[in-house]
Amino acid sequence: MSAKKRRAPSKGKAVQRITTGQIVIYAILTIGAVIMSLPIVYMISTAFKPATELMLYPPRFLVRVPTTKNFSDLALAMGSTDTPFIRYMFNSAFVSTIVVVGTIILSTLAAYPLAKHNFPGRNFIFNVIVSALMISGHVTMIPRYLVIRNTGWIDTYYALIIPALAGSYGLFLMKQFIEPIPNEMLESAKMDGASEWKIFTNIILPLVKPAWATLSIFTFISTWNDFFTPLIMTKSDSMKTLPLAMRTISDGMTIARMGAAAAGTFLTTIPVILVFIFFQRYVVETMTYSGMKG
Amino acid sequence: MVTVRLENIEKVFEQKTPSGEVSKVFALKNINLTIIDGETIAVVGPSGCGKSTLLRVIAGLEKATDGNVYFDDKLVNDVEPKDRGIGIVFQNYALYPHFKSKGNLSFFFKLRKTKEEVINERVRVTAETLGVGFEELLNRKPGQLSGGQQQRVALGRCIIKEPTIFLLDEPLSNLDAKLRERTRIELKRLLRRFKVTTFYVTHDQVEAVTLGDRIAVMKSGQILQVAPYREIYKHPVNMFVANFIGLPPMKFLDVKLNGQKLIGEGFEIEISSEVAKAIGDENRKLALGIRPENIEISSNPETGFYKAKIDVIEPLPNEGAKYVYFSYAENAESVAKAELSYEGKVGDTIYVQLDSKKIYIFDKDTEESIVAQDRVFSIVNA
Repeated sequence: MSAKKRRAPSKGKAVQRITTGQIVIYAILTIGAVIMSLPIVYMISTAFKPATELMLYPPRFLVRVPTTKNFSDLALAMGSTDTPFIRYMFNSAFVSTIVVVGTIILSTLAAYPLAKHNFPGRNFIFNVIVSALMISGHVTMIPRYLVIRNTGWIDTYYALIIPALAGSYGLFLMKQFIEPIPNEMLESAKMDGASEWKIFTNIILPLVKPAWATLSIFTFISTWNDFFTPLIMTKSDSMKTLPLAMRTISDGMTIARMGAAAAGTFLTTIPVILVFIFFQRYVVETMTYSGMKG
Repeated sequence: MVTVRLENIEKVFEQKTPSGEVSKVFALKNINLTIIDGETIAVVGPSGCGKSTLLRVIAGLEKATDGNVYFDDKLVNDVEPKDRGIGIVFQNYALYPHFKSKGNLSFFFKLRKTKEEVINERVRVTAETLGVGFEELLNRKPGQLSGGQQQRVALGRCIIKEPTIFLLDEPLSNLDAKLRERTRIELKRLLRRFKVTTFYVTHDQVEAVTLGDRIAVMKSGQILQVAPYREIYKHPVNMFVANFIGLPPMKFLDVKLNGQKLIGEGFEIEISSEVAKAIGDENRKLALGIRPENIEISSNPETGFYKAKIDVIEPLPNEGAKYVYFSYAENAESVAKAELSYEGKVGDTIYVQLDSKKIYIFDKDTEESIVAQDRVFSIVNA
């Protein structure tokens, strides 16, 4: 670069110069973002496609003549069962919400002593919990089913909620968040006269709140999308959650059903996307907080 | 206020070796210390020497394995930290990041459900004590404060509860040099004003000298010496203390007793019969130490001066001096203090005399002091 050109920006405030490197990075990021969003765009577009377009081969990515017929088909398909679509919606929302709230409360409560108190067997307990992280959910499905059956919870909300609360991921995450909080801060509180409970509610809770966003997103998405648990734990239609209900619709794939399924998938995904958008800014905050020292 | 008395404090950590054996690690060993009412004791020592652990024992945050802590005549071993009347400032300040400064100050009172007016009054008084500009910090959260401001808030949180004991754990070490100097003086003023019994942990000598009425030097969990700075500087009990207190640190020269003389590599020094008697055995391995200001440098040979070579020159305009690091021989190095105008250069040959009345003699094996300047330590040779 010539000397003349170099001097120009230094005259005023610092002028932000875009380097070739930045252009490359942004280009790559943009491509990545587009690729990531393709399935969602395709899903939305498909939900509005008329039958003719649904059957096109090769398939067209974007809808030409958008229609809402798929949604009325869905309503029709659903109308043929005794249980209204809204019931599945409610089941999913109810179970997911309780699981999210419960997981947050239980994980935080359990993580605090594991992260900040020394007691005999602490490491053992933590290691057991962490090893549970490594066991696939499918492995424990049969024993879990047996336990639930013997408790008499089959086909109840308990079966969908209680086992989900025992997930170790949340505890692991919360422990990782509580651990970097300086011990001196808790000791200062102790010197100020705070009891353990006061320390927990006045110091720990406010500081880990941002981490709840991350935990909420993960827990909500995994519970909302869970197909397997309701499949084996529920029997009656009225206990089904959305993913399970969706399968009922897409069973016996006719063209009309395919449209309804696409519409159903779209509707099922909306809450997940909303939850993500709502909590996303807190996730960023989580990251800034986790870099906090002292 | 309160006199703090530590009696045979011991803190042992058990450590499992890889082979499964349990070994004991002494974090504190046989600590006996009395901090007199209103006095500031500055505890210095290298990191890991147990000074912070000792502070935590006084605070009650750590339980001593053995020994007793008394506040006046009251045994406080089992008294909860919050009931000990202690104000504490940690090195990292440990402010509550989600409270504003005011919230940090008033948390103590909030927990006791004190009335809002009372809290406000206390905050106002504290802000006044801490001086100009403190009021403006009250409505900001710690994240919006600079290091120095956070430090002031931490100090405010400590004094607002009107403690009878201050425990300060390296409160200045996270500040930059300039601010540290200013804050040091401010702190001194505060300590003077409050006359509260203070236990001040630091690794910085200057802080210890400025703030401590007495200085305690610690090493490996033990207190080696407790005395006012002048005393420690003049009469260190062993080589560690001699080396730790004083800037630049004291250098040691290997010497042997020979009649009325100490013979080192490339130099000799005459000593009094009293000193010779204190040393006793001529086979004893000795270390000779001397403060830089007690060494005279000349560019010409004179009687009593021995030839040496300049290794390094460190000018310190602040102190109005140059430190001249020289060596008599390969393993016989020391450092002398010269005028700022001293014109010697690295590599120059110089002639050096040690002031025989100001020398320190240590037993090289036990590291204990035998003679320190004008005092003969009552160590009879084994």
